[in-house]
Amino acid sequence: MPAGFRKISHPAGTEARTLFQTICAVLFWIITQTAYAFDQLGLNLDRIEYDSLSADNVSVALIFGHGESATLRISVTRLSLSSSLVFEQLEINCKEGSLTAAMLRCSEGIYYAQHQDHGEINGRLSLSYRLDGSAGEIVLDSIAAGDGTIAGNLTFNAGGWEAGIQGNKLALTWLRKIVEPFGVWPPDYSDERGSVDVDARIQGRHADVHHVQGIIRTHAISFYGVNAAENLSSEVSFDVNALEGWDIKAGGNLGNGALYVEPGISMGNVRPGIALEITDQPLRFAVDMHLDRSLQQVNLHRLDISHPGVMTARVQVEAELGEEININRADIALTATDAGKFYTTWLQPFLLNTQFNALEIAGALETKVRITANELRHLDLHFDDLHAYDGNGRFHIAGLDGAFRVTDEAIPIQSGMSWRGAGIYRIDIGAGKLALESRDQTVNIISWEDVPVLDGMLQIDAFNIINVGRNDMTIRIDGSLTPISMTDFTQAMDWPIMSGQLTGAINGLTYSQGNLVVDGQINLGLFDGNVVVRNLRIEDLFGLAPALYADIDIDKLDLELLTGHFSFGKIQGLISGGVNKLELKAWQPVYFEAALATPENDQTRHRISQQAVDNLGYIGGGAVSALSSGFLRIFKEYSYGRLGISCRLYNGSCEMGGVGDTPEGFIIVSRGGLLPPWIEVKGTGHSITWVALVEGLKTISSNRPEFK
Amino acid sequence: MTYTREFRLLVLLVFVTGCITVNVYFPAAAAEQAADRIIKEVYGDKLEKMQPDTPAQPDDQSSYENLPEQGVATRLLEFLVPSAYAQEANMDISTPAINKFKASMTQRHNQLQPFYDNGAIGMDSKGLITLRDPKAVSIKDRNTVNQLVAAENQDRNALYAEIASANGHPEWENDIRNTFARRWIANAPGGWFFQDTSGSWKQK
Repeated sequence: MPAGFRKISHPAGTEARTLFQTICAVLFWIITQTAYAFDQLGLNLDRIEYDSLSADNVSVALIFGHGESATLRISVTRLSLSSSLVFEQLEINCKEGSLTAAMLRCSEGIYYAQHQDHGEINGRLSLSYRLDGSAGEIVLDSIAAGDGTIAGNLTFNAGGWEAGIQGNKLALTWLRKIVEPFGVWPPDYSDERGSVDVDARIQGRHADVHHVQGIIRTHAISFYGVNAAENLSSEVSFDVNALEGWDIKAGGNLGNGALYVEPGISMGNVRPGIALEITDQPLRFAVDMHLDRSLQQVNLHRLDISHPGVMTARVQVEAELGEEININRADIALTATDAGKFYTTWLQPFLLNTQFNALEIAGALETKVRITANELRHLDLHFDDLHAYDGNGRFHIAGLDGAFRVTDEAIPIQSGMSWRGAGIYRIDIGAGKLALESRDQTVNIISWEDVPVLDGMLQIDAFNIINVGRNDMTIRIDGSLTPISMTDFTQAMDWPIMSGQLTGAINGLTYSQGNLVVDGQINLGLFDGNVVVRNLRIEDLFGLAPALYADIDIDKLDLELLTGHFSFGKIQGLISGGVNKLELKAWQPVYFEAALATPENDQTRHRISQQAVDNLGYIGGGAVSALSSGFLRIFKEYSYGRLGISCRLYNGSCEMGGVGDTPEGFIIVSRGGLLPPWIEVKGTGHSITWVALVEGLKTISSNRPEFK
Repeated sequence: MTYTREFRLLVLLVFVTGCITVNVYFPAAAAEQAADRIIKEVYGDKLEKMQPDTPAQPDDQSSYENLPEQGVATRLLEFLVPSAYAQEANMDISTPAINKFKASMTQRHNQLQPFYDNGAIGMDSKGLITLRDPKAVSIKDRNTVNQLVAAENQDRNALYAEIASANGHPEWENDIRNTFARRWIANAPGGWFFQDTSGSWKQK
């Protein structure tokens, strides 16, 4: 049942016809009974009521002329069709009428009425009516209305009825007054301006509407509500058949102005919409679709959109509508000549709750997508000098060319891409090129050029993407890094600056559902020692606050290399230990258990410079005191036995320790070594806030920003 | 017999600990203070001196039920679950993630403020914001406002979860959300719109 149409048409059409039929039936009875015995017939009714329709003081008069000619006069002091359509002093005069036993005709009739809002209404009409009620027609000639003109007609017979309306330059404010009482004007809209042309035909039977077709032109219209328009000039033709569900064909163009349309999707507290601003060439569209009677199934045979200078698209969809939308089949072919405008206009509104909600894009792209049973079956994505920058600084890519193709079929298809630059957070990745092969919804890299990462290189041994387009899509990488400057890396991560080089092997790096996990371990070569990162996982990598978890083993780093490259001050010796249960949130540490100390049986030379001793004080935020005051200050270097520091970070504070305890704190550098002067460095207290510790490190690097 | 005596003591200990049900109630007062501190920073009412949160009164915040012997058992309980008191004293709002969300919301607030002021945006009863009057937003600003609202709500949802998690009670997220929902409104200037629990919009 086409409920929407019924609501619009049922009351007025049916009641008007019933009234008309009633009057004519009475006349017919009088005429047949009197057999032309009188020159004039009159009928006066005080009041007629039918549902919300009422007519007061109805007077119908027939004045017979020669032969079948007759003059028909109808007058009604008050005719109310609805609360807004109330006419006073309605008069219809039809001098050129005729009346036979079967038919009443009126040509060149004149009607006159008063309306409280629209003032005097008058015009010409013609009508014909079979007195047995089987058929009739009324034609209202064009009259001035709503700053424009309007005309209409209605015919009916045993097969149904057909109404037509032709409006020209009808003011939107006037149109609202007319249609709002019938409940077809959407609520909460205001500030209507502009005018519309309407040429529509409506066909139906009884109270049901079966077919509507016509054309609507808007002239600089504006309205504000959930949807909105500003100075919009457009033309839309439509043809809706409601016999078997809804067959809808429509097309048109938006020639000028701005339009905002919400498709009715809700994403959290946001209902995304498409904002269009047309200035030069018109946006054109055409749609051909079928909706079943229950509105639960849609078959979009074709939706074509041409947005000049932005994109063209053709969409075909078969879907089941309900609380969840099930896409049985969808084919999308799209060419975005301006990928930036395409993203901001057509894509971004629907990506607001995703990681791709704040991109800046330039370039062009073309894509063909096939979805079957809610799953991506085929993707053919071509890039032409595409640049994409995440506004939240999480990733970027520049100069992307080539294609990315995915198929679910067993026969493999190839594609390839190249780019001039890329990056994840502040880690820059240089130009790269790769060749891909896809089959069974999996994409593998079949050839790869090593890609610069910061000042090093990323070598990929294996790279594959499985379950492309599904929720459990997984990317897996095996490869190695060699060698990267720690200075660049720590700068990129906004960590305290470190120097040296970083090399490493990455095995079993997996990214799925926003999380990154390394199955194996990452082996790094640093300062002639080894660093092993175990149990590395990053949750919500591109989310609001990524969480990183890892355990790090540190084995025999050469402190002279470490401190020699870093302006900390020179320390000779080795250091080992680890950082266990490391937890970073939003890339800042929230928990770890770190302990670094001179390894047992370290036979290397143990010397520490006065500058390094002083800087230990900075690290300790002033909590560290050394015995380097007084006469020891005349020496630039000292011998030490063991060096060590530990920190258990939790609740924003570091619970500190060293290589031994004292009543007031702990020992960072113990006495020892072969040659004097010997030194001992103690820490007082057991706790320092993480903020103070980091500030200490920053002070060191800002005071002496020398990196060799 | 010594064995029998030890066994009885063990049974008694099991009985005592088995009878104890510890309910660590949500520290409403501390949460409210924490919410106020964050909200005032976001709204731009910078606190001149950031003071540590005043510990909430523990009188009705924790309850020990079914204590067979109040004195001994309470001491035993304090030994076993010292966190029962610790949780109610402070609400930690200084983790890196909370700082990040707070900074992000503070930065965004200047863009949101005109839309709060003209009634386009309102505060709902779930601690989020929503576009309540689209008519008050021009077409060119519609998607910008949608973007701001979505981003703000993402931050707020993450903030509530992070505060609960940072304080060791992820199950408090809803209580924290409700606390913030009340405090966003309480701290808002006059003229802004908010949704009451029945869903009706009101102007402050």
